[in-house]
Amino acid sequence: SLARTKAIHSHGAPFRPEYALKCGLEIHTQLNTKNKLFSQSTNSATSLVDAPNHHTSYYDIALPGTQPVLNLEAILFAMKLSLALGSQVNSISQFDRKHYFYGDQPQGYQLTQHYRPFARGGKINLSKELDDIDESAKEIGILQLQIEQDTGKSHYTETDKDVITLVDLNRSNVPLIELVTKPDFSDIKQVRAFIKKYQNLVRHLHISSGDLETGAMRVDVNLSINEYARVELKNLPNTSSIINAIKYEYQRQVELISVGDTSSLMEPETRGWTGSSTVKLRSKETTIDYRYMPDPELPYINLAPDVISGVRGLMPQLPDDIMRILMKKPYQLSLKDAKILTYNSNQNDMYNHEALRSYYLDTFREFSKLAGERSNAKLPTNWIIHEFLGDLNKLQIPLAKAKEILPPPVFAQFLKLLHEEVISATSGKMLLFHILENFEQSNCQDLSIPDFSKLIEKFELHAINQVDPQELMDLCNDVIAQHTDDTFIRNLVTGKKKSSLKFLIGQGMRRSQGRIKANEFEKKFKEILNIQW
Amino acid sequence: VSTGGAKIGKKFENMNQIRDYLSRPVWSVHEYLGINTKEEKLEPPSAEAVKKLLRLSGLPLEGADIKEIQMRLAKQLSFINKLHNIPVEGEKHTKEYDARLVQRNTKQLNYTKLLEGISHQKQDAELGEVSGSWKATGLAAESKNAYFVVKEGLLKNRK
Repeated sequence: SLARTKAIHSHGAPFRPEYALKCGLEIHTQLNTKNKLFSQSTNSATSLVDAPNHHTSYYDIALPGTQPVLNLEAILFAMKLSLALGSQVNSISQFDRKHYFYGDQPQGYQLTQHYRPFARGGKINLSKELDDIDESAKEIGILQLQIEQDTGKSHYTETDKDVITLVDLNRSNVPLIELVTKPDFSDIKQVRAFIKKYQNLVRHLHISSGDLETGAMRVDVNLSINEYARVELKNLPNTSSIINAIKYEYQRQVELISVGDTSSLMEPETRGWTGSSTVKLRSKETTIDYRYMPDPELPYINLAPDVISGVRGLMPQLPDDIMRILMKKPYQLSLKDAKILTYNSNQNDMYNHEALRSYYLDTFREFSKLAGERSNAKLPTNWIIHEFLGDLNKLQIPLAKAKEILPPPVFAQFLKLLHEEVISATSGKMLLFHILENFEQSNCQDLSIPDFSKLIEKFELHAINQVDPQELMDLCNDVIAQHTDDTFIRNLVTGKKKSSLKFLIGQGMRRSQGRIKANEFEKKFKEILNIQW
Repeated sequence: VSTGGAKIGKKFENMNQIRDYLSRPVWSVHEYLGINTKEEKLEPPSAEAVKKLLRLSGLPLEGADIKEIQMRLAKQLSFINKLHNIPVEGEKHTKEYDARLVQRNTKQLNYTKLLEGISHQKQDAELGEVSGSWKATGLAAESKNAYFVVKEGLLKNRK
């Protein structure tokens, strides 16, 4: 009813302790193995734009007589994820058939791991320090990880004749890992943080693109309040949908509980997110009986112990460990900057976080050699993460290209110029942009290493260590003549408007193109205007 | 009782011959249940259970002969119960989920074989594994713009 809808929306209030949220997630992650799970068909990364039913073997569309053969790369990827999560890998796991009839499930069953999954247990640690949650630490437990095959994709259409579904089986038999968490989430921030962290992890391990929007990662939510029955939420295409669906469902249930109308909360239910509300899809009476059975055609996955130790040797350092290293000496990055070097958004074609981090660390090392004990940790951070990256984005130059003319040792030389105040920060920005702009205009073909000395000479970018007193005097008098009047000067001299001095200093620095320092201008303006304060 | 050895029969000439062959029963439940089994002793599943099974199987309820299905299932269940009661003392215990056609004791996969298996993968065009090497919808009774077509009827009974 409209009244109830209004009542629900008026409860915009945050989560209340007397209505305790209990929440778990089920995440399906498509693995970007080269081939599909039980056939060697292409596992296309661009399946959304490929012709329908283009990447389909006889097995993928379940032609009679075909048989599955396991793609071992899926085992490697599942092992990597299990190790990263600290899960217990089962030396023997098996595939089982989950039977249901659907247009996009050509076999009539889905191959999954029901009785003996690939791995059990494990966790992801969230912390206030790294993850924007309220608690100082929060552990989200993992129940299990199982390998399974994806279904095809259905496109629902209506014509004047009939309601038909168009089925594309390019996605049929793509390998998935289903991860089921414990119901450990008690607030929305934890859910958001977990999804971001897990997404970054699968990208970091190079096992999945982690994209929610393309369906490479799909999240279902299991939610209950005050120990009432669990509600499963589906059809959640992105992070904001997940968050909004949880908020909506929480408010809906709080409303029911607070008026004592809890009959519908006594039995588990499945609800779908419409974009603005949740609607009932299934309840206990219509829960599907999947008639699980071991797949008679697939042997067990039977792992020797050296698979675990061998794959462990392939593992990269994990994101949290990298973040912590970057945030302490000698790098001392802020959390925000550490995330730029560690979190892969997959949205930037100009660089990926690994290449950027590698560039930063290499340059830092080279710069430390040049600057010795007096090196300033802020310099590489500011200039690479902010200035350099900003220029690359502005000019649309891929990092891999820019590295060819500004490899770490050369960039370290540039930083040395700044460190030793051969050039000022303002001059440095102009110099860096000029170098990159010229490179871009050559279509990234001119690979000559820039000669900083020549460029500094050519554009007169030297910092003025010994300021010419007469030049400074003339500059200051010009600024005063152009930008002030009697009132301005009176307010400044009397101290009524001290901040005006900053304006004059800014104008002076602009006129000198940053070559003369602010404190030099300050002294001179005070002298000329006979300022006593 | 032996059904006789397999033999090569005459070649089928048309679809009707295949239909005739497949529709001729070659064994009977009674053959295994024994002559004394009476239909009155069978415990048929409920009509509701039959309807649920039809829904789960994606089969239409409309026009279904519920009573006939009940009796048929009752016979099959009775047969399965007979199988369950076959004495197996002395047989090594096997968990039900170990029942499969392939051998149970599989060779262990070690790290070397894992990496070798991954690097030696290749696509077999004879299995349709090469993209675009065959037209997947070419065998379908109905398709549209390279999609398979599923009529509403198959989805109607899903909830």
